[in-house]
Amino acid sequence: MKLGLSGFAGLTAHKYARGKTKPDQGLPVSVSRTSLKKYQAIPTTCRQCPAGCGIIAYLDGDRLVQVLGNPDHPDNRGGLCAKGIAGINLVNDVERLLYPLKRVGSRGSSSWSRITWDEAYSILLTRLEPLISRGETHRLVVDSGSEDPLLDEFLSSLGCSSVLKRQVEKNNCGQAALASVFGLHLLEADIENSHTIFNFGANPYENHDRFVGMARRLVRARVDNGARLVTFDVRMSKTAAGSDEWIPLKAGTDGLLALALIKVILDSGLHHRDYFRKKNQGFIARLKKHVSRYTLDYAESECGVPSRVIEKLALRFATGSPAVALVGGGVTDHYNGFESARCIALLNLLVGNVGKKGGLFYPGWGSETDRIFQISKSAKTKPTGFADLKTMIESKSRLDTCLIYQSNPAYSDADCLALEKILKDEDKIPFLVVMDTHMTETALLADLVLPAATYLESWGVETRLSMERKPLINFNQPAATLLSDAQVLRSPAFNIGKLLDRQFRPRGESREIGNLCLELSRRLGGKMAEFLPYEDTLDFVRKRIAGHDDVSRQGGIQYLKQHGYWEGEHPLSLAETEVLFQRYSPVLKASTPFDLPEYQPLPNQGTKGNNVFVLTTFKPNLSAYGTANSKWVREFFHQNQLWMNTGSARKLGIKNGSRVRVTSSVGSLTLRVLATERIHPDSAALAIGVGHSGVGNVARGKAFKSQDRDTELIWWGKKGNGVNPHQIIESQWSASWPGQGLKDTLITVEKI
Amino acid sequence: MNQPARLKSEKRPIRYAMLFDLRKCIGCYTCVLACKSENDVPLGVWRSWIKRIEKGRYPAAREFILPIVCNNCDNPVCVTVCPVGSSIKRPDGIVYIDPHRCIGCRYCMAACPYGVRYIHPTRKIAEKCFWCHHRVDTGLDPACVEACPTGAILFGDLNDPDSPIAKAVARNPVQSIKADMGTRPYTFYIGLDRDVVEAKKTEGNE
Repeated sequence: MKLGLSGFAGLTAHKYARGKTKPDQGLPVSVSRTSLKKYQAIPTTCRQCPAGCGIIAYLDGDRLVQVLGNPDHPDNRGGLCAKGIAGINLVNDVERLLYPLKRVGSRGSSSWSRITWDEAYSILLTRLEPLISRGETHRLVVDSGSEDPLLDEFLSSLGCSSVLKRQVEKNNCGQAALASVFGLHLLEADIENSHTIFNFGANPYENHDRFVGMARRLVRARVDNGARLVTFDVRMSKTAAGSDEWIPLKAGTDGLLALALIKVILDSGLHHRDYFRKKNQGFIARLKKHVSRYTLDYAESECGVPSRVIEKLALRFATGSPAVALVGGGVTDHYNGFESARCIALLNLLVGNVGKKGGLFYPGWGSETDRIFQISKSAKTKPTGFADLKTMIESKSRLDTCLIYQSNPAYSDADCLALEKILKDEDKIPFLVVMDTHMTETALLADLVLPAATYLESWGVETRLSMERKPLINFNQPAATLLSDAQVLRSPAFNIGKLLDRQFRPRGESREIGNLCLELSRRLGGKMAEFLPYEDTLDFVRKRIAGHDDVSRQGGIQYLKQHGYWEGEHPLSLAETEVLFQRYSPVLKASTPFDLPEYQPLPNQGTKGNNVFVLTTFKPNLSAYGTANSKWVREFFHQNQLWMNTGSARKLGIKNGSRVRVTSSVGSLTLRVLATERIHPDSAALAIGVGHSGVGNVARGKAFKSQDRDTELIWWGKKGNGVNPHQIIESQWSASWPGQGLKDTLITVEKI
Repeated sequence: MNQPARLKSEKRPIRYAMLFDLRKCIGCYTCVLACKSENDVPLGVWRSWIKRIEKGRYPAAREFILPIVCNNCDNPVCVTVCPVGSSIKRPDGIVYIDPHRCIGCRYCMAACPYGVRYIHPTRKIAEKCFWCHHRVDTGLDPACVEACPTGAILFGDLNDPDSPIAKAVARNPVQSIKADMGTRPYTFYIGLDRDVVEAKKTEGNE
């Protein structure tokens, strides 16, 4: 019988014992489908989202062919999400930016000329040097979509304070709410051991700062430990679909619901007594008086949740110990997000779950002094900062240069069309530099475009606490593109000492932002160069790791190169969180009266017609910054429809699939309706992540010829490319409100 | 577990099976993308996919998810009908296609009650999920099992009473798709809803 390669593979004897990825000691393996050859495995960390899952990048020869989870990593334990797997699409994309480009012609005309990095550096220096010599570095604005410690150090050495850190800003509101109640700005839930989990607007099954680690623990708590998960959301998110109960409520009323729950718990005397008896005796009486106006009837009429349901839920939360309440973007992205998040924090406080098994813990890293330093540094009790680039630009007079790194505000900021106009205006922004992996909508408006290396081509190190509360170092090392021996010998930086190491170089001429910063500081010279005394990003990472004694003892960077992460042995005790909480919580300070949270109704909600809805947005789990041009992701998620409740749609004569025009105060969109039972009748929902006009042909759904066979097979473009909801979301940001109302836009829906 | 104790010499042959625990499935498409990546599946065709439907009226609506792969049936119709003998069932139960024999006649596609087969757009031969037999033979789990973030997919030898999948099948009521077709499917589900199976197409997602 003639058998081909695949056939032969099919009939090989089962000589190996089956097991999860690790037939023998050492790194996990993956094999070639056709030759059964073992791939070379490089452990590193995924950076598609902030979760930082441990991944293994597999190389076939010099080519990156696969990314799978690292089975040893304490957070994800081998699990990975679709975005992580699509990481190879990001690196190997045929449409990636590979060379520095300079604009020719008018801004936004997308005509470019290719320049060398040397030219790019001198252009940047001609902008930076006058700013530094005149002491006007405040005229430099930076928008950074992903964290980079070298960029931070570089900017602080420049004295530039106008930095919009997306990863930090988006959690601002929630963190300030925690700090104002617990005195600790970060608290995570020991979810695996909880018995009752109330989830207010978080979506850990689709998108979360701890995505895979959180989802697998939540699933285990629910299925294996029998915990009860209740999700409060206007829309049935994937998390709500996978919960025991979905409680739909009117947009922005989460705070009121929490207050009503608090009232029931207090009235039935089921609250935790110890904290307050010891520290602040008057608190419960004060709170009781405060919540007396949040009656069940009031909550029922405002939230739309029947009072008997609220009562039942309150009793369940108070008695189903350990209970924990989670807060997510569905709450904090409202105008009243800060107050609502505080109400929910109070709910946690009342059942006394801080520093208890199945409750909340403080995920600070390092020694006790480090943790106290972190707390005192970040203990803001009001959210401050900027939420979007437009507000930041408008707050500046005489802006000079704007640097945007791995962020696409012309697509992803609220009211992005208005921002696009500002970015096009050369008077408002004299010079715009964008560093990214793709030609994004923002990059199309830039004067200088620089190709960025992806996370699979970079060095990096990050310290945090693992979900098992142990110190954790996540390590990034390049896995693409492997240089051949000849290339290594020919390279100008060749060093005989490194001969045996694998050498990688990012694709094309793309560079890590860290190396860009180091080169700039070297060229600026003087004090600037002294401030960043590193050869390159590897040198920086090595010096960072050398600072951790425990890691150095186990082999330092060599250990991390082999494992991709390092985990300490001793978990942080939960009791310590309780000690910190007892020490810092404003609630337990009897001397100054605690500012009790209130329910703030959303503005403009009273006068709604029956064709006016509150627009909420959601990020499906395939959607991430790095997957915009990923062929595998776009094949599944290339379109969005307006989610409307079937009943509300019927009243307007709208059926499933009807075309509608959606209008808000800033713009309008035309799209199809998804009539569904899975959304509150007063709300409408739109997915974000599609409707690109830049980035690449894959993102726009256009088939084209390239080295990659798949690009000719793109099939979804005919049906359209989806719409970008940010075009109709109002950029609501006012001094009197501490949060940004990204999910408060009122839209009018008309059938066309 | 009231199976009689067996001597080692009586060891039964390997019979691979796959089990989807739908209580743990979050419908995240990781299995689908892992499969695309592992098997270099071109755009426009799939070896695995996710079907989802909604049931019930607001506010008691529910969403049901169903991930689908090849059932690698014990009585595979595709093998019976193949005119050139390119669909082959291995002794351990995996049904695969010999790419060198396949003539792309689509007979197997018409015969398969589950519609898991497709014609490769450039190679013009039939392909389908074969539980990543190249990985299985090396001692690894299939790519989807390996990647699943919540551990909802189990794969292993159903004849080995100590394997996690045999234990899970023994402890939980399991279902399979179109069990009445006489194909004896070996992809099992915990918590399968019949309406999802019968739904013609997946309902609006995003």
